Formats: sequence, structure tokens, C-alpha cells
Amino acid sequence: MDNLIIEKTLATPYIHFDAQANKLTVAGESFPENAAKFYAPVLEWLKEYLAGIDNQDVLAELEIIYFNSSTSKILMIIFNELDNAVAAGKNITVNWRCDERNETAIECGEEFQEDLQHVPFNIVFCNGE
Amino acid sequence: MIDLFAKEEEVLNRARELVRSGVFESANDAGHYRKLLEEYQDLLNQMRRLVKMSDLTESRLNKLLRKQDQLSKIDFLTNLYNRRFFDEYFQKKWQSSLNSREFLSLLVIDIDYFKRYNDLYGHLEGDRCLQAVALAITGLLDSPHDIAARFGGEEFVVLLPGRDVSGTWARAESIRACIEALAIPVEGLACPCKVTVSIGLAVVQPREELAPGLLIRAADEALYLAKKEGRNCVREGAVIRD
Repeated sequence: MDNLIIEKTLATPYIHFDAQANKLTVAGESFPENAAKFYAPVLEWLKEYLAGIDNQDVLAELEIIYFNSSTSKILMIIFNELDNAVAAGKNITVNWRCDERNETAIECGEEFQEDLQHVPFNIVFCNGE
Repeated sequence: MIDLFAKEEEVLNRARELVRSGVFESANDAGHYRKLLEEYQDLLNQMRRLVKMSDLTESRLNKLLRKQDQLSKIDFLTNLYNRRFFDEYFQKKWQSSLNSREFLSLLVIDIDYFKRYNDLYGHLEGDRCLQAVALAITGLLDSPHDIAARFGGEEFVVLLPGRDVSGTWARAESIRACIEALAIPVEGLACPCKVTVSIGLAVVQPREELAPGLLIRAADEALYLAKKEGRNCVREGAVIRD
């Protein structure tokens, strides 16, 4: 399947979903006016990808410095998809990357983490690297 | 403590009650209903988390805004207001004094021989001297409407709204005396061999036909006079009133 690459803008993050490397990257800020519209192709790609993989290791890395409320809902939908896939036997890990000085990002990561039951969700300090 | 989602919890409780009461005709129906109930519970939990995350983010943005606001107003070295804030505040006070017919007084304060102080002791000591003078000035402001700002280099301004000429003189003189009393030593100066300031003051009762810059010019001219007449003193510029 084709990779999904969306370049970063002022209000939307860089998205690189690499089906060959089994790596899903989201990096930047996310406060699109219409989050549902922006993330529709991302969710569509993700569902198709998850349906097609076996038990290879998949890494989802998210480093989102700032996100609005609509994005947090979208992220929950994405994480739920990953959680359900892991419950169904897939091997997926989520790394929530954030600066260790950014308490808000850490606490938000913890909120996402607590909402999930199956997918390993790591909070990884990257200190702006 | 109230629960923001009390109504949602109430709906869930009513639904659980329905399951318990056995109103469903078949176990299959009850199972479907229980499943929907669980999904609703999960979505409600998500909603709670979403609201919490929004609050966290808003609170962080608020803190950043407040910090940004402070940074845009304050001179980081002396902790006094900066020139930009002073200019805005001065224009506002000028406008409000136009309506209230109150006096508006300005002190322009300059540290005497500051260049020599810097040359003798270096810029870091010079910074400490500026900080000590700034602290002394702010310590003598007693009205919430009075403000002190760093105008540039070793020059400070104090705006005193609603104070008449004698009140302004008294405040200027107490600032001058307080800084002299700090007794920050300066070698090689004729007596007094310590840090002093010269102050120019001006008082105006703003009128439509007057330009606000006039008050600053008048205080500047008075400062020049104070420097010319020996420093460590207060001089008065034009006093303009009805």
C-alpha cells in the first residue's frame, strides 16, 4: 500500500505513515479549523493499513507540541483503533514523545495512556531533539 | 463537589437499573443493551479526559500569555516598566487627566556620572547600581497610579498622576535623598563620592490644545538645568495649568 505523507503547516502536523517500515509518525502542532476534515484521510489510511498487517512490529510515534480539543478527540479515535488492533493480536507500540519540561504534554500523554487497555503506550522524553 | 457530567451519570444509572429490572424480553436484547451501555460509559470516560486535557492546555496557554504580557512591559534588568509600557500608560493617563482636569507630573531621573561608574567598576557593577537605584525609586511610590519606568541607559521616569506641584517636589526630593543615602561609593569623584541622581520635574494640567510630549520636554529641560547647576539636585521645568 502507498505511504501517506502530509507536509507540516502552521496549524497541522507532519504526518508520515510508512507502510513498508511499519512506522507511523505525527509531529508538530495540530489545531486545524476542521480537524475531522484534515484527519479523515489519515483515519482512512490507518484503518486500511491495520486491516492488512499481520503480526509485524509497528511503531507509532507522536510528538505533538500543541493540539486543540478536536485533535484530542481524533487522537483518541486513532489510539482506540490501535488498541483494538492489539486486542486482535497485532504488535503495535505507541511512543508519546514530549519534552520533559512540558508538564502539560506529559499529563495529556498520561490521560491517553489511562484510556487504553491493550496497546503499550510509552511516554518518551525527547527534550526537543 | 459537583460532577460536570452528573446528567450523563444519571442516564447511565437509569440504564443500569433497566438492565437489573429485567424489563427485556430476551437475554439477547438485554445483552445488546448492556453492550451499548458499556460503549456509552467508555465514551463518557473519554469526554471527561478530553475536557481535562483542554483545561490543562488552556491553563498552560494562559500562563504563557501572562508571562508574555509581563515580558512585553518590564525592563528585565531593573524590573521597572519599560519604555514601551510607559509610552502607552502616559498616553492613557494624559487622556484621563484631560477629562478629570487632574495634574499630571513627571520626573526624569538621571544617575550622575554613570559613565565614569561603569568605566571604574565594569558593566556588571553598573547593572547592580541601576538595580539599586530602580529599587529605591519604586520603594517610594505610594499610589497604585504612580509608575516608574526605565527610559533608557541610566535614565528613569516617574509618572505621578493627580499630584500637585508641591506633592511632586516632595516626591522628587525624597527620591534624590534616598538614592544619596544608599551611599553607593564612587572613587575619584569630588564630594559626595557616592552615586547620586539629578531630577527634572514638570507638572501639567492637560488641555486639548497641548501635546503630551510637552510634559516630557519640560522635565527633560529641568533635568538639563539640574545637571548644569551641580547635579544631585531637583529642578523644575514649566508648570502649565489653567
